[in-house]
Amino acid sequence: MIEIKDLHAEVNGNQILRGLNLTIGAGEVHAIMGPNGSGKSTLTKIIGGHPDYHVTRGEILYDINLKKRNIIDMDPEERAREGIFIAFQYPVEIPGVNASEFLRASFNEICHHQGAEEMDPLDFDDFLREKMKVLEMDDKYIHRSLNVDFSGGEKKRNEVLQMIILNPRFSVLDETDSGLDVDSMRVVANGVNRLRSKHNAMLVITHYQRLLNYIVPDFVHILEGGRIIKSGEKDLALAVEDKGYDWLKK
Amino acid sequence: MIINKKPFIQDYDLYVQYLATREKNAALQELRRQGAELFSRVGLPSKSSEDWRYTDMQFLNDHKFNVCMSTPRTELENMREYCTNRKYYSHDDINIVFVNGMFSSEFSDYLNKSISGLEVLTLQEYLKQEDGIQLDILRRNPFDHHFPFGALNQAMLHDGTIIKIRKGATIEPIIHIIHVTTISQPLRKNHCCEFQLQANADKKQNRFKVCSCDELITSPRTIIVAEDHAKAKVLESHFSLIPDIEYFSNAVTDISLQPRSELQYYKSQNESLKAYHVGLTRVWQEEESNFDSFSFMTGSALARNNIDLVTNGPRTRTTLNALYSVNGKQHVDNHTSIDHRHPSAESYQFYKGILNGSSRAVFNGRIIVRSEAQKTKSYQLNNNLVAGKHCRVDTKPQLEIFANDVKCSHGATSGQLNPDEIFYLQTRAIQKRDAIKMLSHGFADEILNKIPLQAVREKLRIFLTPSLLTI
Ligand SMILES: Nc1ncnc2c1ncn2[C@@H]1O[C@H](COP(=O)(O)OP(=O)(O)O)[C@@H](O)[C@H]1O
Ligand SMILES: [Mg+2]
Repeated sequence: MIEIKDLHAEVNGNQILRGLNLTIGAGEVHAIMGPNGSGKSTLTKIIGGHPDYHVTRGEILYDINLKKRNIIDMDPEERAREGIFIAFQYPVEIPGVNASEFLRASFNEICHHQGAEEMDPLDFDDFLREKMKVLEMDDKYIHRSLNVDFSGGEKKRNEVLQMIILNPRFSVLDETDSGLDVDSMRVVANGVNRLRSKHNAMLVITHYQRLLNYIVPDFVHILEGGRIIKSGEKDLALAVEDKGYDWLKK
Repeated sequence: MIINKKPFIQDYDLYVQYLATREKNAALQELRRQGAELFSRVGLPSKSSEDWRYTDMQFLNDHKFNVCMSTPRTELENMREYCTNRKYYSHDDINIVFVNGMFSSEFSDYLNKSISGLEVLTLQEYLKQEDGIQLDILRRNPFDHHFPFGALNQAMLHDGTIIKIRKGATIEPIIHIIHVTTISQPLRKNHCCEFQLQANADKKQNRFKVCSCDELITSPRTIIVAEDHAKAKVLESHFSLIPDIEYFSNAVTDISLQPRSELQYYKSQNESLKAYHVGLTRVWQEEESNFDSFSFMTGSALARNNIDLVTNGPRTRTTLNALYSVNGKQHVDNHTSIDHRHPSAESYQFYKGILNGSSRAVFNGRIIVRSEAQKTKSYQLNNNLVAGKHCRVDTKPQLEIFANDVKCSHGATSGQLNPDEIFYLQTRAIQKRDAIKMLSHGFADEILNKIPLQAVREKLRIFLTPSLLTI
């Protein structure tokens, strides 16, 4: 699905990623753990195509129409249309932009790109309400401005709602668990798990092992100093929870 | 007289003579004379005056403005088409319409809609009433040298709108005062205004000589009185059916809110992009009255909008919200002044602006809290979204606080769209251009959504979308 090779990236003149390699196949869920400042969110933004974050070496190959394509020169919206989705660690608040109208515009852009019919507002409303039920979201979110006056947890739920609606092929979830209590985490994880299939893949970034009890990963990687220093299966997450990161540093 | 000496009003003397022959009552003539006298003395403001530092009006001296006393038939047909097909004009409202500065009974429908507690009159109708003979309502608040355009409006005065909402009445429909300007270029050259025909005849000139109509001046005048406990919603609109004609619209509105009355007052200025608009809204608020206003501005090459509000009793509530959206070389200047003279007033001002192209915006918000006005709460905010590369914003709060137990705050921002917001929308498959548009609309909607009436919001959006189009 996606193959990240020798990725080096900088922001504002700071080299953050220093030779990151990661391959994620269709149907797989990978988790990345790592201390604060290790470059997890930077990787997210690089995959999304943030204009301030620059790839200085390496490539990101992503399957588009059965061909591997280096996406680093693609606009963020093009990547999104090809099925890449980012659930942000800190979703922005956008006053005046209605959460549901925005999501319908987004959904229709993707439909349009895939040559599917756009959904009219009434049908979309039904579709949206059904997905909101999965995430146990209150109707009121949808009448409000995007993320404005949302609590931390509501923002994260809203990110996952967007993910479920847009049904991406490859999703990155950046610390979606932070700000969620245990009950909310279970609900959100349930929403995410429903999307898992042999056709798509996910990269789950987290600081705590506990999310991985709910979204069980196939592989776990430890990011430190801008590269993956160790990879393993889900018990690696438990070991990190137990012993911290220091024992991994050489 | 400047009006004559530097004749930026063409044939002013003939104009007032002409009006005098048609009016039975001398009260208006006297008011015009006083207005002309004051305006001649003070003249057009220049940058040397602090109030006009960023908006020099001297350029008007190089123009020649004319009054239109009758509108060509084809223009009226355009207006007819507009009224049948555009959502901006609705028969759900109570409409009072002026075309090219002239009252139009054809498009006005207030007479057919008698609503108990609401009295709508044109100034000419008012003059015929017993209590209107002396025009007390116009004399009560004379203009002074601070705002010479008030005097100019009075010097030109021949008609206007008077709205009274009677004690305790709640008027549900929107009272919509429309000032529309529509004189297309080729017509203007051949169309002789009535008074000029007469003037030419008087001068024993060829009756059919084509007059040198340059640009129109209109002088909209509105008076709104809400009596005790009365409630109403007024929309005052200024627009053009032709997007690029030059004219000068110089409007004055006086609003008097008696105790415990409530007025929602919307002013929508969408003049032609080559027009000049100067507006003065004066408000007097008695005890526990509520003035909830919104100024919406997308039009004019140059627009100046003054709101001067005075409290005349305690526990008043005032909201002055606004949205301006300018593009190209447009210049929009808002000056507000709230004079808190009595205790426990609350006033809220939130002015938002979107600047594209190389447009300019000026905001000056004066807040006066007199020593008697303890427990006043007054908040002011001016946020500008600067989308164009060569735009300029000059914003200035002007706080004059003489009471000690008050809560006042003010703030101003000018900035571009947040790149993280653009990126966020892009990661949701929305094109950068559309993301920028969506965010600009969002910026506007944040303030537009504060308008409680959906019908008004929808009307205003009709003008907003084209003003954001070039982004
Ligand atoms: N926009 C930025 N400008 C400058 N430095 C940045 C920026 N974004 C991230 N960094 C730096 O990059 C490093 C990695 O940050 P980040 O990717 O957010 O880490 P993590 O998500 O793993 O906590 C940090 O040292 C951070 O200060
Ligand atoms: Mg992070």
